[in-house]
Amino acid sequence: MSGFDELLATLPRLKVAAFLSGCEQADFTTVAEACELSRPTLSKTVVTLEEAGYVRVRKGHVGRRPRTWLSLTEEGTAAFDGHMSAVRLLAEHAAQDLPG
Amino acid sequence: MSDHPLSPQDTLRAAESAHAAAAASSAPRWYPATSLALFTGAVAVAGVAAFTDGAFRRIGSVTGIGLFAVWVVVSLAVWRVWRRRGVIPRDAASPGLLASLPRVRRIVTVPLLVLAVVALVLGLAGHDWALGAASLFSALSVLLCGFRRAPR
Repeated sequence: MSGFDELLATLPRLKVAAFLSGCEQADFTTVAEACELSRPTLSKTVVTLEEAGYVRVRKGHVGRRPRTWLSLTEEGTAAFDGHMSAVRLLAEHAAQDLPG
Repeated sequence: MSDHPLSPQDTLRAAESAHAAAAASSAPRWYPATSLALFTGAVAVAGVAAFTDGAFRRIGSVTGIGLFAVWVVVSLAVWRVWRRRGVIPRDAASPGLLASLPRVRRIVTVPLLVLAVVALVLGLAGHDWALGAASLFSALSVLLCGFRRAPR
């Protein structure tokens, strides 16, 4: 199906992309808490999305504390929007196909 | 957490919930407009002052610098709160008055920036009036086109 993205078809990747689509950027810990992901799971998810060019990773500091900031790239935004359109279409078809 | 493919309904629910969690930390309503007004006001007042002489020039320059300082202080305070919270909102920076007309915005951006740069070069070459013009073109450019790309 056009727009459907295999890379976003798992819950951790989908949640991270969806969260980042709602903000300009967010730090690693905040994303982990908001998406209810463990740090190792988020780390693995971010590496996959970064390798695909969907997520940008930037290291920074808030005061003395190091922070890792994540943001969705234009490519990631387009992929997420396309994926969600395809999923909405699938959900509509599934609802129509229900008996009764 | 499972890596198995999700049903369409589960996907929609999970995505909407995660998106809403991030979008909940939106910018304070007053900030984008206030930031745009303070910045463009500062640069425009300083630009107009460059065309005047004597007391008007001094008052205009001081007012422009004052407004610019207020813009820096307010912006730093707001950004500090966002950075501590861990989420920078999508509507943090104003996209300008032409945000709803992306085509016009694209057409207008480049000529205004070119005029500002040309005026700045002339100003640095010794033409006093050109520094004022560079400030006014910059203020107009930011007012119309904002600090960031237009929303999708």
